[in-house]
Amino acid sequence: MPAKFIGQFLLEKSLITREALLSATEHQQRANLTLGGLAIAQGLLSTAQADSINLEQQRSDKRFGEIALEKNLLDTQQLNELLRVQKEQRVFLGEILIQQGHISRERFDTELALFKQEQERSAELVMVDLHSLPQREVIEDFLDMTLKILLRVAKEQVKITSVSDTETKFTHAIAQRIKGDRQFDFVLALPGNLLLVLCQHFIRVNCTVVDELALDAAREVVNIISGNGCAKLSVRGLKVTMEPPRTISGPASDHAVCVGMSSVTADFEVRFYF
Amino acid sequence: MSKKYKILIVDDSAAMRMMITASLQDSEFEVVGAAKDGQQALQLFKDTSPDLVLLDIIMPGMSGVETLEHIMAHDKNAVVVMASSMGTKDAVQGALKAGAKNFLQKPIDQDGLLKVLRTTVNSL
Repeated sequence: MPAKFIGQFLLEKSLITREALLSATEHQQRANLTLGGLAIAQGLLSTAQADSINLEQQRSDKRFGEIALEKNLLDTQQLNELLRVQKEQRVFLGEILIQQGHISRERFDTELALFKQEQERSAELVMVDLHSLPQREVIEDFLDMTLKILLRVAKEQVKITSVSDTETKFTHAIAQRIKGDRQFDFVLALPGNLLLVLCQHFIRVNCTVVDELALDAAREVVNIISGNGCAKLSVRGLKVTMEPPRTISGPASDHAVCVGMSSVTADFEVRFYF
Repeated sequence: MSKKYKILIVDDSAAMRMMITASLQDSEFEVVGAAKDGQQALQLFKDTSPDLVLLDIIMPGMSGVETLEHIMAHDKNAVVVMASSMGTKDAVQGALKAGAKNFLQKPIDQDGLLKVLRTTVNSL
């Protein structure tokens, strides 16, 4: 059973409508201030300073607070206070759905318990599937970098939802060949809306159509994931190199490990062809 | 007015070229050319005589290291900083052995980029 978000879980069971979920998630996004937003509101950072931290955050594997400390824009005490306030003021999706009258509190509590049980089972099954794979060190290193880079570059919180040998059809696929002690193609298969989000965050230009620049930005994101994945493999003592990323239209080979992923923007897939 | 360093950017990714050029705006580094491959890089190097080259390693056709070797053959005093997402020991060693002065690992942020470029020009 795939991992999902609580809103998706309730929607699939027809306990809330699509409109209710959209309204609640939009409300949640507006209500939950980012650390940068909080710091600006409290006069600790200027908008320009927060923007510069956000920009660096997209290019690195660091948290907002970590960068703010490095740049001496915040001290530890200020950061801890901001984190405390952020946690205290955090608004949960369930609470919004209840307040907006889309679901009763009793029903939501029951469903939340069921959701948590399902998530635990799902995570266990995915981990069992991953551990049983012969190339699991490669897969784990590249999945780890995929989650980190997508969070930093596109602000996409990603969950692993499934592992299988069957591909799911997506509009776009970017592949990169890794060679050396381990040989495989790493593929990111994704829909157009997620590709545009990647592009927009990567080059900070409004992207509305999937053009060559958007595809190029997506290829560079794959390149960064692969490069950092290779660096992790080299720490394991493996010597690997990689070819430039390329846009593909069909399977890179017959033997695929397909890892389903889910973010708020869209479902997508990471594939390994050995 | 403080010295401006002429820099040539070489990366097959248009998105990366855009991002790096934007990051160097208002700095002491003036982008005098942006090449998408090794051939174009060599031509622009000859045409613009940059103080510094920022060169991607993984490129289609002529690789970054091959491009570096051609640049060094043309001008043994060329100052080249290699950039790659693949920060493995072999990649870094290979670039430095071929004559690169420094190495920058992607993802690149503005502060990290300026720091490496400044360290490189200050060490000349």
